[in-house]
Amino acid sequence: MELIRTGKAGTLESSDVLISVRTNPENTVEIKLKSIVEKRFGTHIRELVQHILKEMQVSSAIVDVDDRSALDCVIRARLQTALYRAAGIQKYPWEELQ
Amino acid sequence: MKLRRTMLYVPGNNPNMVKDAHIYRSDSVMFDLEDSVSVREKDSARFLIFHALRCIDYEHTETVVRINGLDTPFGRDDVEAMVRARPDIIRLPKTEKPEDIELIDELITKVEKKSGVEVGSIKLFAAIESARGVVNAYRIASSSERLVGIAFGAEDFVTNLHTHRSKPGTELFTARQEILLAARAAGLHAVDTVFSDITDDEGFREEVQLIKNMGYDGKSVINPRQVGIVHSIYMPSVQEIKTARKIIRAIERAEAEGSGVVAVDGKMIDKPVVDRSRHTLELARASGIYLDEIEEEESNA
Amino acid sequence: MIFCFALSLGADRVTIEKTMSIYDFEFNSVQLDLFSERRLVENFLSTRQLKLDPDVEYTCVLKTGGKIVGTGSLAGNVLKCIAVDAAYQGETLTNKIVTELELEAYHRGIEHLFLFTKSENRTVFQSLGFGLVASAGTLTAGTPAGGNTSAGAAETAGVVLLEKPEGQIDLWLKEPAASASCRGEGADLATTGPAADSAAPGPSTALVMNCNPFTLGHRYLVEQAALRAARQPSRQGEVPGGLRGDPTPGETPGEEGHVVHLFVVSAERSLFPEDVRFRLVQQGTEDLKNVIVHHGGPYIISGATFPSYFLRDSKEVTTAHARLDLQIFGEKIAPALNIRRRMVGEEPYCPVTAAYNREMQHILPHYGIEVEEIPRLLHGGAAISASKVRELIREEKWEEIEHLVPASTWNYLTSAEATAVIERIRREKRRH
Repeated sequence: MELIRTGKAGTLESSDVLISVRTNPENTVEIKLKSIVEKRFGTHIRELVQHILKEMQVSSAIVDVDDRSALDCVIRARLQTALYRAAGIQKYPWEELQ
Repeated sequence: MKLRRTMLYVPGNNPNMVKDAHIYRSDSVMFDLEDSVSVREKDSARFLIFHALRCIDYEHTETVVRINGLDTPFGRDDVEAMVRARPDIIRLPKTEKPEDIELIDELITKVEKKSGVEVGSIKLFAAIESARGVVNAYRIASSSERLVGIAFGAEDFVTNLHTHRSKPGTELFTARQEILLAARAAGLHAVDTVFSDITDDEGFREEVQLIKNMGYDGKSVINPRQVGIVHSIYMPSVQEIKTARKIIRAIERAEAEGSGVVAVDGKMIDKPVVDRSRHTLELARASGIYLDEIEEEESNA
Repeated sequence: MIFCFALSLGADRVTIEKTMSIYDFEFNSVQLDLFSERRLVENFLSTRQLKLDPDVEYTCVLKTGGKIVGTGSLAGNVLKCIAVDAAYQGETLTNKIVTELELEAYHRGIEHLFLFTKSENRTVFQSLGFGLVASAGTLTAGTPAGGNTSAGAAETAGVVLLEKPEGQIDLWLKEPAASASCRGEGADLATTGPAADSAAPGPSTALVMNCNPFTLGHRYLVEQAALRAARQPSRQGEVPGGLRGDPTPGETPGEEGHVVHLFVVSAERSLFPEDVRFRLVQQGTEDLKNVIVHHGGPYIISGATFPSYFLRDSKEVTTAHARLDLQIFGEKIAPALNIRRRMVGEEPYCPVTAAYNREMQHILPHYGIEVEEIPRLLHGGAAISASKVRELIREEKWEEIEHLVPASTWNYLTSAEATAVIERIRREKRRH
């Protein structure tokens, strides 16, 4: 998946996460995490984000994550939304999203 | 016996509300992808509900998703996503004619097949929100096997009628009746519209009492406070419970003995009465009434 | 629609407190062209000594029981006119409003946001990811800066400008892409920023102008600045027009450098589009080897830093805004380029600019920046100004215009490219 603009989704309200993704000129994946549960879940959140990026075949991105105690499924949802927005994709490959 | 006394509206783009929706103990929660989500956030809400349904255990609460109509740019994607997320029910807004239901039924079947979901497992609710819908109520109600209920949406309805909602609700009377009749004739549930003034408890109670008397199975609610109120109004009286128990016991005895006609207190018991008794007992259970205690009371009497 | 907030759980039943789950709040966007809706927001804001700025493009409100308890607006890339009723979980409401505005801005393609608010609200917004750009409080005791306190209070509420993502201003100062347009032999600095040189730049002069469009009056001012700067002895080994040069240890303070940094106001709020204004400035100053033309960017007289320039604000508000803009200039921009002097044309016409210039004279010296006012070039007894040119355009007095603008500007005005802009000027009655 190729990112053509900045994709942003989510909010800073409690239990949500604000995620912003954009291309990385360095062609790697860089995750910037800010979380109120950093100590406990920081590693987990980073791994989750890495995993989802891999699933969605994104190898170059700068991902800004401002987490407000979101559940994994919320992080997934927001990241996925941000990625599709960044890629300008509006036709979703539902079959692949099982 | 499924109870649908309360269907709690949850805006589909709000994780805080979505993740805890079931803690208010409504019979159903309705995740909304339609009116409470702005156009530019439809994709966001869709993914949120998609993932929430797949990951969060809503326990005994029935899950409903109100999708966008198929005439909008979002409807189809909503169905593609939601079928794969497997809510109990998909609710179609602004249903006007049976063809609307047929169309979505077909689409759901298609996606069920594509995605390996058991065909027919996802049910439908039709929301009727216009004059046309009301006039077509019975035809809508009988248009699909998937349909399990009809909901009435008064806000859009009164706009369609060129009037507004009033306290006595006269303008809604016929629509309410029609929808209820259609539902009963087709063997479906009927759920009444939302009451938006959350500060008017008195008015809310009156309305709930009214629709309960009419025969409605329940009401759409927009605030957790309303859930408790509806449940207490739908709670059967002790007398109703006793009568119901009597009837069910008589039926059970008759079945065990293999006898045909059953009479209780001199009156013949037919199927509608049995169904209603079962419903009453279900309501009792849901209201937290311990039926054993009532039985004890009876035997001591 | 109604929104929710999870509440306390007691035993296996939920205790719903009488006050306030977000289920009790209703969130709407406001139809700004409906007087009645606008009025409601204005009334709410006025109870907090705020007003709904006319340049606002999107407004949202939070209500409960039909009453407004919070509001926020978006004007271009600036979040402002934000207020919440403190009686209701202020921070949560603020969060909801800002979050909504941020999403709205995102959907409008805006990625760099500014937020303008009272100093006392700073921490709330910082927790929402906004970083400080500048804060303007009272500079002298007894002078209110926020426009919303009683006169004479010594420690009054100031205003702050925040941005998101944080730290953009520092990045901008390092390399604003392609913002420098440079002339000079041997110097290919087309894509370098104002502070590209790793060695400390020599002391320089700054000019900030809108140039709507570039006139002979502007030309005169730039010429004066360039002349005065060029007259100063250049440092050893320095190439005229370039920024490179051996840093001179122990250089005496007050020694003038010879570079003029000309910042063209970037905000797209003027009748002449930004790219045109910039181009005309470049063309009109091409021959001045020691003048470097820059895009003002979001930090110099922009909708964020000095909105009063574009709006009709009260005197107090204008003053507060001016201070903010000048503080950014003095604290961040000037040091990065070693600006020691700012030159400005006398302002006979525009009261907002005049007020700004006055503030400049108070504030910039605190940062070691000398402010020099230059009398305007006259034509027929009146100062040549861009507003005069626009007026003449409206009146179609072309022969007169030709006397007021340089050839480069004249060529543009009479070209096919300018027809749309000329039409707009004729149609619209605007300050800018």
